[in-house]
Amino acid sequence: MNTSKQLPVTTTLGTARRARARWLRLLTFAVLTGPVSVRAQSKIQVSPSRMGAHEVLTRLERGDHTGKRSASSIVREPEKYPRARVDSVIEGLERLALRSKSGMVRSEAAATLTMAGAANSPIPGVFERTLGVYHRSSDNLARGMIISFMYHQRDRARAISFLKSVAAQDSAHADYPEAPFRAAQTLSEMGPDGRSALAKLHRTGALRDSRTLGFADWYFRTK
Amino acid sequence: MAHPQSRACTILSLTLLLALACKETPTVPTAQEERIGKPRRLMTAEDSASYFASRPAPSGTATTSSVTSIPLKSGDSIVVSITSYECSGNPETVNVYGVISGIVAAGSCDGGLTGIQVTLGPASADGTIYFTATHQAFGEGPAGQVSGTPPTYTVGLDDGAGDLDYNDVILSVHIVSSEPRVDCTPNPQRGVKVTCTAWGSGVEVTDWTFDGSTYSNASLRITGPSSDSTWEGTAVTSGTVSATVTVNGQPRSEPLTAAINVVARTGTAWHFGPPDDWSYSQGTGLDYCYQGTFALPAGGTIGWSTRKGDCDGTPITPVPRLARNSGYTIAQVSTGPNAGVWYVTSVSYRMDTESNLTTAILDGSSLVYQLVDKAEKRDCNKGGGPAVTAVNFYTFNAKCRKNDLTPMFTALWLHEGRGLSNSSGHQGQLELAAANPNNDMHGILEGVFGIGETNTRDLVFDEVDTITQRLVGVFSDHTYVRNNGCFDAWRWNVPTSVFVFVRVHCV
Repeated sequence: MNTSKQLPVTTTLGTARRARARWLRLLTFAVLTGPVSVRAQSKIQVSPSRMGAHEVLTRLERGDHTGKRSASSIVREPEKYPRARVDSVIEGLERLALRSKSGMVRSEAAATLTMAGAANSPIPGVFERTLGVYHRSSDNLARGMIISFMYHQRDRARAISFLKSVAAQDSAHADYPEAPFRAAQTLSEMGPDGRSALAKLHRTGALRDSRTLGFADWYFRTK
Repeated sequence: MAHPQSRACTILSLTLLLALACKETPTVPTAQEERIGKPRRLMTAEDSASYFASRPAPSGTATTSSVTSIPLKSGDSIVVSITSYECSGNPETVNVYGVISGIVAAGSCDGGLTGIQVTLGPASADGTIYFTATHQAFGEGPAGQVSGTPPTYTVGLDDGAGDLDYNDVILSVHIVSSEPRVDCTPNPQRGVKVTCTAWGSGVEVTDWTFDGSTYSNASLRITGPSSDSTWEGTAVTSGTVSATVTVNGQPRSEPLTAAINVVARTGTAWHFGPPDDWSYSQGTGLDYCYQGTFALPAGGTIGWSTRKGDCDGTPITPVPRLARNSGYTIAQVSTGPNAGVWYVTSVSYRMDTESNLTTAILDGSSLVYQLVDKAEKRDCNKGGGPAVTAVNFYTFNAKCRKNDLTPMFTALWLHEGRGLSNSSGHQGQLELAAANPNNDMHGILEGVFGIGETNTRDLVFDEVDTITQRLVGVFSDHTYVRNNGCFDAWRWNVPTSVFVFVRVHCV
């Protein structure tokens, strides 16, 4: 008796017979499987969205959550979409992160742009473009999302290097007041290599922002 | 409700038409009569008011069927039969609304509804219908509860008497359609069963297909088992169901189609907010998170707001980056149009936060400073008693220099808490952000679904992490955390070993 619970994503398992007469189907099942009927399994097919870049960005700018989901899918799996569409979405995310009138849209766009660096095969140059938005933005929350989403970067070495540079800023010259603290917190979440980088900053006295230093004091005292 | 009574009624004359003089031969116990009020006479407004004031608790089970409407196609007719009733109206009226609308039947519950069967229609357009019952005194009841599959449904009605047993009038509704078709449960709520039925004369299904979109707006196609006239299972996402059929053995050129419109789950379980999911307290935070002294030149952090029980600035529990698969549950649909899809079945993320101030500035602090300045020693030793050679911040301000620290503590607690006005404190900013629908953790996850368990968990984490990091940013940001008060304070100057009066700290 086939009662499999797991349903395959792209293949059909089991037997699904097309019989013209219902009695013939029942007879066949009875012969092959005994008195208990077998339920044929379902097949699932997924095809990449055809939604264009303009529609995706319009929805995101409007605060429509489907826009964010579509944009996220495109930047994280660029190999599934036409290159022109991916490029347009990246450019649109840069623009929205810097110039949208909505703070929510700016932070959403900044986070989604940073997630492009989490792709298995990130678009070349996308990390630099993300840092470009970070340095040009005047929105602390959007910048904070970029810092925080370094957590997801596939190129962890570059991400950690950037975070170290921000965490070591002193209060008077920080990118923005909470930047060093946010960078230190993100390093602490990035596993052994992130923790090791933070530990070295702490040990060598490189942490100069008082709140960041306080966070590191507590973290290495208790974790 | 009481069973129908047998009686002999005589209408005496035209002038007595407003009151029926009936000689009754009750066949039900008195308790039954009391439960339905005064069925024997026409009821006045005073009778109704009296009944509502004294009526017993509802006798039936208030079942809440999620299906209250029946889908129809343009041109369909319906044959409505009254199969049973337990009511008291005189008349009791059965109504239908929607693409077929009007009065189905009106009659006395005392035998006047027996055997009624009417044909109504045709429907003017594709759409739905629902039924109600109206008691002539208690008014119209809610939409009736629908069960069954096409072409024949059962509808239980409850009139305005409000006992919620949905058997005041029970209908059989048979759809008469000239064309084969597919009907699916209208507007199923996510997580509830949706049933699609292909029906019509000579119709046999050879294939079922569902077309919709994934959570990321990719195209989604699910093909189901063949040969079943019904395809049913848990509803997760909207789309179009198609049935490839033969009619009297001949393949139909076009599949039969119907839309599934899945509606979101609602209620407190699917909304992130107080009091179920948030809590905040002041003065309970761990006192070792930061060890600022408020001394000069670098005073350190003297107040903080954190996740409850920790010194972490992430206000969400469980912390998504530390426990990726916690805070929610998912399940896979095994059958039906959404078979194979995984969806979120519960969410338990919370926002529990607390604030505290550094012990260095509190009364009784063990951080003391050795006095070297003569004036300071003199002021701290006024009034006699044991010689004071070392004092903490609080004592020097409050007792030595008579500087009232109340404004300082008030301002600091407001700064960490909900602020003086317009959510001008850290907790206030956090709650303001968390109340934004784009940050409704529970509401957003309600609609997350995926193909494959790993894919689904990745989608959940993406949403949860984005919201969490946004809240982290708001929680620590000072852009709008200000104007909570200003104060003066004597602060220990480490290089010179004296207290220095610093005016106007504003937080």
